[in-house]
Amino acid sequence: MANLNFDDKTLIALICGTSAQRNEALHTLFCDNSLRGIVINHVRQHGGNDEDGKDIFQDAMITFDENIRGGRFEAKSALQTYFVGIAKGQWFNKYRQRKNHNIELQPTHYDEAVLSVEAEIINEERKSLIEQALSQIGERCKSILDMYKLSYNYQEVAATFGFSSPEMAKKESYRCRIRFRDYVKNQPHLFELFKSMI
Amino acid sequence: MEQEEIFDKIEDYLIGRMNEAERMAFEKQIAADEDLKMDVEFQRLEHDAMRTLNEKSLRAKMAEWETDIPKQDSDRGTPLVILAKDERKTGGTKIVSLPNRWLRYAAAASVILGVVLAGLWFNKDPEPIVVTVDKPTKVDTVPLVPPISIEKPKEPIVQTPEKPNIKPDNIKNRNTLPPQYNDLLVYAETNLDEEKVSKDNTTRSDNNPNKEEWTSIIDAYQAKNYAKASALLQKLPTGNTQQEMLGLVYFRLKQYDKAASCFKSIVNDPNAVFYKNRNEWNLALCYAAQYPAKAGELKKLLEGILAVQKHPHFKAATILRDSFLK
Repeated sequence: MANLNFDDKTLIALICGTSAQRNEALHTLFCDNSLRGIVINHVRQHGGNDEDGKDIFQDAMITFDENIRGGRFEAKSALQTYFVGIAKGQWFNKYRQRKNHNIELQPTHYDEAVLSVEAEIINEERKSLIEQALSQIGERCKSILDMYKLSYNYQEVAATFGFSSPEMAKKESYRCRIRFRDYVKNQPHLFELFKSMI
Repeated sequence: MEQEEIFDKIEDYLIGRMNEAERMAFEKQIAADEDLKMDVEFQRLEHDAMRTLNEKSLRAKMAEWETDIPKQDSDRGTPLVILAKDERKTGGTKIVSLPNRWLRYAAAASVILGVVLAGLWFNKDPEPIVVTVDKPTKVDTVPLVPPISIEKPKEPIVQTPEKPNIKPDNIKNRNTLPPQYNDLLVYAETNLDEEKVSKDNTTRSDNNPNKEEWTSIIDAYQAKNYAKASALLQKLPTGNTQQEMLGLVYFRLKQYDKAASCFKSIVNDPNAVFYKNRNEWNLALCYAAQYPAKAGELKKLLEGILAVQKHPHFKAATILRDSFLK
């Protein structure tokens, strides 16, 4: 990004790197006033206020991080453009919801390079099911799964949680996921809800 | 297929680690097997759960980082905010500046008035005097008082750079050096970026297989027992953290060439971006300590640091350049 110490390639490498590197990169991004200003200004100019702008900036951070790690950034634009494009799309969706969906999409509302690669949104029902099941698997399991999802790499999980090998970390992660799954299966209302989503 | 194999295969499918042919074949399998379909959906749900966890932890981090956002000038005062007519409907606000034309007139008038009053206050010459301005503005001025002439100061006003943080107790056995180089050496010795490294290592040692060694190294370093720290570091496997710490130890032992080589190895490592800035600075200090022998290297490195305004050592590098190298 133009105003950061990192170039685009480096920033992507850091976000996809170890959790310390990811933190460093996201922290730098989060504290970049120029990027924040662009997003907040866009929101202000399109019917929102400063608070909306700050919320959208955070939402964009989450989608941006997830898309970069998931390899969904196709390098059709610079990273800053990509980030702002995500934010614009998210603000457009939020604003449309507020205004009862009666707004037509204008070119200033979106970025063509970004629209196709935005992360899928987990709907509210699914979120509620997930929250309930997650509350049953324990903090340690949650931390293991959180870390695994960041890089799909068991080496760092093993180092962080003190497992003797990545294989042991994988087994523990598997056990946590089975615990999560069993909880859903054993709660009739959750299981029915789950089946209705398939 | 074993349960674990199925699990791995579904994982590959969900993460996108299958090629097109594998993916299509697997989707056929899913369509034909209800149990497999159920397993895939459960694993998909688990992935969504992990996404939720990632989102929560990032939101928690962002809440912590709020305090790290640099304050902007506009944050210090209340900005002039005027609701634009068309924005009132939406609740949006727009920052509107006063008309520039009037601001310019007001600024020009106040400068002229200030100059005139200052001239009147200090001028003891009874001779008639004339106002001269380098580039007259387009504003018509009416002489309100007897004209005065103001001479330009002979020397341009230059902002004095901040004085380097020099601790006199560090000046030892440097009588052979010219005073400028002596100060440069002191500056280098007193501005080494070492605090963060020590903190980093202390934190890192919790998950470090060489936890005990690192604790001893940091203790030795903090007790200024650099020889012991060096000996302990030599026993550890080579890595960026070890090289950085070794660089600091060599620097403190006044072995600047060796220190430079340690810092340089990190600066040149494309994977060590995380530590690059502070090692760049410490490398610059190694060259500064060897000035003028390493003047060329120092100049080049400072140019690199000063090209990045957000470099954490930008200000210190400016002081170093302005105080010693101009």
